[in-house]
Amino acid sequence: MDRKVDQSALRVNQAFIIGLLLLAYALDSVWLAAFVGVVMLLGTAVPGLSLFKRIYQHVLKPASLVKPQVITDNPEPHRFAQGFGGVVVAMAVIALLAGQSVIGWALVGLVIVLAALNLFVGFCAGCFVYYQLNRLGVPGFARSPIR
Amino acid sequence: MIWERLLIILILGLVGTGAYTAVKQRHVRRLNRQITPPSGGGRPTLLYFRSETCAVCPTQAHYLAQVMGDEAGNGRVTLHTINVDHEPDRAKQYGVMTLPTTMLLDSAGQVREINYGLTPPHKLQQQLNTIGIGA
Repeated sequence: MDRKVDQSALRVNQAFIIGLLLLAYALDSVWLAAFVGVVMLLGTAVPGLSLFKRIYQHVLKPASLVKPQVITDNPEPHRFAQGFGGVVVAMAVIALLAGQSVIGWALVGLVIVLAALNLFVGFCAGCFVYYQLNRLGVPGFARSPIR
Repeated sequence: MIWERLLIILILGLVGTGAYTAVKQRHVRRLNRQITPPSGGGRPTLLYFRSETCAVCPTQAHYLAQVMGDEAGNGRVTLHTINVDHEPDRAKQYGVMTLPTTMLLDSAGQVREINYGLTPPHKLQQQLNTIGIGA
């Protein structure tokens, strides 16, 4: 597999996740949060179906609204980070549907904070966890940092 | 309801942004108070913190080489690379929280910019421009 990652695609993805989850909270819309969670999980399972990255690929990049920034990096930790975020959003939706709105929106807030940390500070918490699991030799976390 | 929630988002956003800015400014102030800068020979210095296990550090090194190729060809900027695996105390001294981290010091050795995470060449170039290096 190509060891290339387009940072711009990741950033657009994060911006969509943050924006839509904030909107979901503002509108008190469980279904919008659920939609974001599904997009995140689907994008993790089948990267080609990642809706927000497709918007970047087919709309924002061709229109030169966002410039590509392709770097040498492992895509797997970023997918793991997104999948982890998707699972947390799914748990949030379950909590919200069960009437536990404080827990539900707190979990949504956690995903927003972690995505914002990645977008604005450049720290990918999910990637950090992935590489720690790789160092521990946990099966399925095969990629070590590129030297 | 919606206005209440928008207000909460606004307040949290402002608090978050304020906290980030305050932490960064405090970091710069602390370094300028406590740290003896590495000798840059009277030139501005770029400090680059990396490690062997940092996935995007090779890309940061490439970006720095690009910027240094533009600027250091005429010897106007000094690059110091610090491997935190080999020099953990130095990383602690500089308060490095994430890798890669780059810091720009002016010719007087004062920290002017701190970049947490991967920093593209155009941003580094802009920062060099603010201290009179570059186009």
